Amino acid sequence: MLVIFLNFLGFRDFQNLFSRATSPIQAGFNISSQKIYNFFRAVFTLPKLRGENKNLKEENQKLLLQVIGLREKTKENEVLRAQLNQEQVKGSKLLMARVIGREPQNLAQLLLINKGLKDYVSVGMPVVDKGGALVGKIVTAFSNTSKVLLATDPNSIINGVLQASQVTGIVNGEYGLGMLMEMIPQNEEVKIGDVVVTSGLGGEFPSGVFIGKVNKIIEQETEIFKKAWIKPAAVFNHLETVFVILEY
Amino acid sequence: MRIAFVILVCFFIVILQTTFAPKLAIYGVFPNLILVLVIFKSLFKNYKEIFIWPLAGGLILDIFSSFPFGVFTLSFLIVSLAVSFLSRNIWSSEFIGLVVMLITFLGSILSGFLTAIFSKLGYLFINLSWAFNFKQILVITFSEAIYNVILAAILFLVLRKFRFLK
Repeated sequence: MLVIFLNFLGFRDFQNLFSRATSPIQAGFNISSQKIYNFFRAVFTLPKLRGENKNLKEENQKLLLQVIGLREKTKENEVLRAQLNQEQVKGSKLLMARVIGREPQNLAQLLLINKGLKDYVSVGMPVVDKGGALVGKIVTAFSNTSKVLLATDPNSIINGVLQASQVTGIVNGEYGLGMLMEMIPQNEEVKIGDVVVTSGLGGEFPSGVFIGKVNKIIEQETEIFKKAWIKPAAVFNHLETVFVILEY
Repeated sequence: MRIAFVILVCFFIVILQTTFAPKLAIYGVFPNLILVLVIFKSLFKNYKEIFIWPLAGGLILDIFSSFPFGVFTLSFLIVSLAVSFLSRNIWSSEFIGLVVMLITFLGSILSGFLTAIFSKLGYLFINLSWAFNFKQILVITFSEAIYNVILAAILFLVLRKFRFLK
């Protein structure tokens, strides 16, 4: 129990110092292991990639047509906004960070990023991936590095909302195995594939950040609320770059 | 000199644990390289001779982890002691490979639960709450143990091939 007492004796300062010294080594190792992983992944998935490439080319053509259509709609939207004299939603201030390590064990889901207090990162700031999907929030900020509690960690609690039906619930992490949306009233309809976004309630996360999609519904007649398993939108195991939302 | 070597090896393995091991994740679960190292060291020699390995490995892992300090040091020391006790006479066994795998499995399960219990106690001690879902911890610990066994089997075959084993 003596070692646990060290938690009171400025252990975080020591961790901060250690993190500063080891973060370049971790970053180097992380880049190398990512390269090794990418190489083997490419080797094993080469035949599959050929087929995928063909499909993607076809999909790309379709998407190009959609983009042209959407550009037109954006212009139309801007004109309408101006007409309504509506202020544009204030853009979030993002800070790009590189993932340099992970929590060394499976019972907690955290990432170590190469930005810290020096870069104006502070505890509680939300973190998203390059596609804008929710990754988690900052729980520890050292001078040069920070720890991000992933949305799949059991200690992560997020106020979520089903985008289509606007039904709210609490999204909990399940030890990296996925996420569980709880407190969904029995009378509300939930469908497989429903998109879940942050509701913004509580102010911890901005509203409308993509969390994931419903992939299983758990309902029992005897219970007041139903639950839904959420497949996270972010691919947590292979994150290389994330964005800290400094302001929203 | 020997202590410096142990610290250096443990540091290197923990760095791999935080960078490379997560890339091997299957359904979010990845092996615990430092635990496999501690178990292998405990299989070979008397606890008194090797206790520096779980001590150094645990301390370094504690520094890198977000759990209360001391959780891994304590659980690794206990696991090492248990493995050392269990493996006293295994080297005469005909099925030594299977015994090594079984001990790795049991050691990993023990380590998983000790880590979870010590973490819960550690967080209570510093007035913080930590979610403790027994069913999920069981799933994670069991999956990690299987992964560790696969790693231990590979390591065992490599060590035997190059005659590092008695």
